[in-house]
Amino acid sequence: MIELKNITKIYNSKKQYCFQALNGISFAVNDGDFCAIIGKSGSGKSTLLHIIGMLDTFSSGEYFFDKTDVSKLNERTVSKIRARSIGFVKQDFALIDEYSVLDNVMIPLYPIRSAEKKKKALSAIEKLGILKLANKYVSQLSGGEKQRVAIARAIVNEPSIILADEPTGSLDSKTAADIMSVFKRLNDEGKTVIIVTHDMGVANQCERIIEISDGEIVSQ
Amino acid sequence: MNTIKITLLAFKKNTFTFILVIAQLAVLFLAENYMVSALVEREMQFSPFKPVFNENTAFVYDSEYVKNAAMLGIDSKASREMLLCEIKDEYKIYDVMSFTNGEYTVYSVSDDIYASLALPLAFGNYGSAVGSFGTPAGEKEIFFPDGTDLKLETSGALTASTYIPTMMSLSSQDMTAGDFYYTSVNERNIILTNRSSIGGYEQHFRLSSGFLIEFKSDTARNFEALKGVALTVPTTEIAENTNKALKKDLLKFIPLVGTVLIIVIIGIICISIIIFKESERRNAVLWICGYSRAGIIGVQTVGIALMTALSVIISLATYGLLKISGNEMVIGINLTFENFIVTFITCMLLSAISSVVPALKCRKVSPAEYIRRAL
Repeated sequence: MIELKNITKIYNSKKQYCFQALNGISFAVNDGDFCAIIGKSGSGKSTLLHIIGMLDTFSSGEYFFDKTDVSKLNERTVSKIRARSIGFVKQDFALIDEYSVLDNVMIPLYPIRSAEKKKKALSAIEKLGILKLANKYVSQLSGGEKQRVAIARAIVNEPSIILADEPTGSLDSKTAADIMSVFKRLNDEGKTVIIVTHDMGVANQCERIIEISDGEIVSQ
Repeated sequence: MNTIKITLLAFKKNTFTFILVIAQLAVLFLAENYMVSALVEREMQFSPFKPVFNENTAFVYDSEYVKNAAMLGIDSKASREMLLCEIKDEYKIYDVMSFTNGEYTVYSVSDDIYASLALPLAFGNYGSAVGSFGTPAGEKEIFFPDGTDLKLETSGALTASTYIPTMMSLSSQDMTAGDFYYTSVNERNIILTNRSSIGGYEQHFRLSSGFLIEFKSDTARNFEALKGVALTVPTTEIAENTNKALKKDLLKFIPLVGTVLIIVIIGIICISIIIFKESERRNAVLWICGYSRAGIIGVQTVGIALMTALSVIISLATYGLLKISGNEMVIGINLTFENFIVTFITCMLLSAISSVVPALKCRKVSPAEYIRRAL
């Protein structure tokens, strides 16, 4: 479970040109939720997602991840939690082009032994229906296929939460629908899915919508 | 294993850049080893001669031409006398060796063979160095243990300017005292000394086919004959002159040392930055996938270490090839212990800087900010 209490994020707080990206954000996401965070460009939704994913720190407030106060964790522990419990999907896929699909999906499995690693990665790839692409290079794939690889990588560690930042932003509507169905299926399997989007069509497929504007929640 | 795999995959992405960087590193190691070799060589070439410089040392120059169709070992008095009688101008003494049983051997060769035995005088100013031993000729008689006389023409008095010359780009590891004299002239220098003054270097001189004539029984007579030319300059003065010459030569060498050092430092920093820039996207992806800051820096360091290892192998292979082809003297590199230490330190420095550069870059940037910039 994720719980944010009065979270603020100020960039360059000690400088003249400081910018407040988030202001008093409070909400909770329960296990198994399928949630969309929507807002215009620059509203702070990606910043919020990064804070939830522990890729960014917050200036003030409290953030509890499975009842653990994130602000009290050191960087190593945060990395471990991220590796084990959170899967990230980015709009631009964040894949390494010169790696094969299998190699990309295996990246988060670094502490695991090689044979088991491959087995787990192939299982995740199969789940996304791209097993035949396993040995292809990412640069040879279409946008939809790349996003499936990104999702396979996000779920390979069997995390409880999947965070997606504009996952359909670079895709055509048909492929976007396919990708959304993948997220829906993962949510049905019990994973918590949080999607940041500015596309209402995508947000409407989620069970819950949190709308933010100028760094504040306007509806949830 | 995983980090090595990630590194190798990164190499694959920018093969050309990494080949360039590895080649640059290899050149850097060669340059650095050259620098160390050149510095170490100065001491190395002088040290074998230090013990020889004592009051019992004389430098003489032979003008006896011995006729012999090829190298000859003469072990009987009769043949020796016959040989000495047949001395002709076109042959030169190659070596004279004495043995503990009182026998001695004279080797002589034709000019052609002699020329081929001499080391190529590719670099350096050996001519002037040899000249420093003095040239005024004067015939002296050398008395061998069995009573045979051999007339040698002395090189003349050691002068106040006498010193052991430096030999730029000559591989001192392979250089022996004999080589030192081979390189000198078409005419030969001979070191005359007694056993005690040679000490542990006796074998060294013998192996090098140095022109060693050992006084076993007629030491006093021989030195009496030579004292006018050989003992006019205190040996400490020769050592001092040599040290001065080394320092002077070193001063000339400092710009090269400085340039190489600057290239090494700039090269290391540039390589670290290039690799880091090339790896930014990969690092961002690693961060997304749960790697820690330390883990990413670790991957970076392993990458550099791997490239450094490859570069060292390439530079060693290059040296090996040059050595096999007999051209190692062209770059004047010796693989000495000092070289190994300096190369090792450079590798450590490279790894340290390559860790520091990303660490500085990542220090205040949050993963999110880093990812935003890199992707």
